[in-house]
Amino acid sequence: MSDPSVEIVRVALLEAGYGLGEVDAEDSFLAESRERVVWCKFFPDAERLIEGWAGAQAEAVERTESLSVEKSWELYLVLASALKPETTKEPGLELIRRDTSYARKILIPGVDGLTGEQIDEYLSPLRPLDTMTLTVSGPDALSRLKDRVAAEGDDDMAKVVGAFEQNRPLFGDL
Amino acid sequence: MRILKGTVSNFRGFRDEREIPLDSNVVILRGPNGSGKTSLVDAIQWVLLGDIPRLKASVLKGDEDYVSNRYATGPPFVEIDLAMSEGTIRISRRGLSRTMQVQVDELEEKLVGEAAQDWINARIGGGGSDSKHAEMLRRYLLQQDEMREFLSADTKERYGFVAGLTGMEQLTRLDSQMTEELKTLRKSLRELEEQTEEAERELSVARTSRTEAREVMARQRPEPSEMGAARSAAVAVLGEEAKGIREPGELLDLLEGRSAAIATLLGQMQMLKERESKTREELDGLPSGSAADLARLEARLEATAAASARLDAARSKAVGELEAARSRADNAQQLAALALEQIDGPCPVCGQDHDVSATREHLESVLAQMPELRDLTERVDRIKEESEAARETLGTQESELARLTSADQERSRAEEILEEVAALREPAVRQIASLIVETGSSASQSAEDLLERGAVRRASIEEASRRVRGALAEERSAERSLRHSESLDAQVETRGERLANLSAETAAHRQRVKRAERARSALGEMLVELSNEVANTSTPLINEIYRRLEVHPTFRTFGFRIQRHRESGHLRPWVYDERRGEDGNAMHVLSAAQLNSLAICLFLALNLERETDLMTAILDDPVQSLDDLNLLSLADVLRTFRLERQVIISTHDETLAELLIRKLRPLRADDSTLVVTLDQWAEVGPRVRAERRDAPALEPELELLRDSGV
Repeated sequence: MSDPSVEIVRVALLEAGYGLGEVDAEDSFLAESRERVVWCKFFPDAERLIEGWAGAQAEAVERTESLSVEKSWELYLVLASALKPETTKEPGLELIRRDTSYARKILIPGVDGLTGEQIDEYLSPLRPLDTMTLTVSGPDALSRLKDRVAAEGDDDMAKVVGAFEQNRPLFGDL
Repeated sequence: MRILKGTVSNFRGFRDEREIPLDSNVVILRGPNGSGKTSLVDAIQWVLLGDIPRLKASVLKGDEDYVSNRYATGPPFVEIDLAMSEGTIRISRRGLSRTMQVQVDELEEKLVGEAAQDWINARIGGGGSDSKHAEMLRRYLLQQDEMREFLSADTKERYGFVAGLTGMEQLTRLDSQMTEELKTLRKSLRELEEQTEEAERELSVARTSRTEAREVMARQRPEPSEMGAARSAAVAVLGEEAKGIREPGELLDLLEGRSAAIATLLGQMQMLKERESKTREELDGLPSGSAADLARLEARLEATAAASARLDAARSKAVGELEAARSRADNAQQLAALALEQIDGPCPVCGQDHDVSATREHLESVLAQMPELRDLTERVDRIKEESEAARETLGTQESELARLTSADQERSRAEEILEEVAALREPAVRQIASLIVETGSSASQSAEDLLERGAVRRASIEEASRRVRGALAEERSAERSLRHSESLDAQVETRGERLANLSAETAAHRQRVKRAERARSALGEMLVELSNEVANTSTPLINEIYRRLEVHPTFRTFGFRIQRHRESGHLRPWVYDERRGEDGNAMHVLSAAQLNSLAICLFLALNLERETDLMTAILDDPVQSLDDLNLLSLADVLRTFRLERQVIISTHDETLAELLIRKLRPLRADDSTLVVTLDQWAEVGPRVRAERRDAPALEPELELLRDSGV
């Protein structure tokens, strides 16, 4: 496990409004927002992850025993492996991902090989949905077409689009 | 705008009126199957649209009552209250088909009927057509298979739907319009090319005709000496009169006139000659007789007539006597015969006996008188024979007299004819002599001689005419050929010009078609790129939800892929495994359950993306095809979604209901979650219970890290 990967995850969570605990010797740390509690645990590889995820969950449950009832339902596990898993390990990882007991598990296999943006995508369930920035409202389709045609500098295409706008025969000006 | 309350009666699962509170950002409708959850969702559709497309598709025409409660006591009725920035709006709908009434109570204004529907369409749906209804449904309402149907639709249909949602209709229209107009351009080019080919053929035909005409003209050109020789021949037969005539036509007219005149005169003379001969023959055949012969014959005729008259008188007298005697004899004979029949008996009148002997004697004497009658008869016959003989003689003499008289008359008439012929022949002879006899010749030539010479002269004139006519015909033929050749020259020129114009026009049109094809091809590629770009403006949001729902462990990115096929756009849902560099059609890569999750992603993204008046998303029992992870993920997504939209979600699954209640609990003081339970369904409808979960008095805080200085 490289520190950069851990750092990327921490920064992502921090930007999503989480408070962060210290990283312990087992490469684990706690993150908490008003809605959720996240226990992050980094493993060297998929095999270790498959072997150790249950222990990590038990530790997380133990660490969150003092939570209110409502918040205890909002426990998430982020389980990352530094190396990309071999194909034979994928079924085991899928089983963990699908296990919804105690906590929802977010698996990041091969985290060291991922870009910050890719890691961010894995962590998206932990962030509020930002509809404002994701909703793109730009010029209408015809305006975009006109811009492209203008950029292309093609007279004939411009004439066709112009004729279309003016409801005239499209190829009449060619 | 969000929904505050719904009131339903006589509608689907609700008979008696039920008021269902919906005034919350999150409404969880819970209840077993058949408890009325979907009926409530249907009611919201019906009050807004006037129908339920999901059900309408399955009913037969005319069977429009698919919304009434089966135990209804009145017309179906639904009313909803909507919270809007300007206040509360109430929309209600009652009745079916033609009696259906829709009403919008907008603050102080009340709209009914069409105006009310227009208001609903404008503020909530927009339009009112079926496609708009479908769009509206997809934007605001997720029913079990609505989005799944979209994913399973034909690629072209799917393209049309997304094009409609993303404002690409204009691009689609431009695309199809270019296709149509290019077809028209190509068609007119083909027509021009055909016209050009036809013009080429016509020009070729005209050129060939002109060449042939020139060859004919060269062959037909008359020798200059031909007309001169013909003219000399004419002068020879016509004399000085013909020398002054320059026009061959006039010369020919003169020749033909002269020939015709001679022919006419010769004909007249021939006719007179024949008539004279015939008359003389008739004259020769008449019987000869003098006037004295005729006088004698008339005297004899008179004597014979007198004798015949006398005989007739005698015969009349004898016949009278004979008739009287015959009458008397007949009476006597009849009486005597009767008496003889009755003589041997008594008198048939008085019945007395007769003196038979005396009677017989008397009777026989009567009968004996008959020889006198016979003598008389013989005398009459004799007179009759003599009379007839005299009449016959008279007839013979009259015939002879008539014959002689007739011959006399015929002779007189023949002599008149001969005089007439002689009179007619005289001027004819003079005329023909003037036509055929050279100057200075004697005119006193015989008719025979004139006829002979006239025929010879006429033959000469005819020969001259023939030569002049032949020379003239050649000249005229040459002129016609020349004119024909000149007209063909003009035709070649005209057709050449037409061909040149058509060729130029075709070349220009071909150039235009090429430019149009190039522009259409370039724009087509650009439209595909742009359509992909426009269609995928929604994909960041879809992907955010898609990843949150964790639909697939490796294919973690979604997009629309638009391709052109047969001049039409086709849209396919596409998924990508970016870490492995793989991609594929979502329909082929994802399982049925994963496709259902994808459908929910699409619905939520499209609902969020568009600016709408009705800020509500209704999910009707989505649990059916989602696994535990998907459900948990959906609950996570909805927790954020509730900040943007009013969420109404129904479920029959108690576990999901509890999960939703926990996950969608209110977090802010101004927030609440409404749990509406529909159960204990009976004929009158379900029982409705509402429980509002308010936010905790204190905001939830960081419990674990609050002391760690975060």
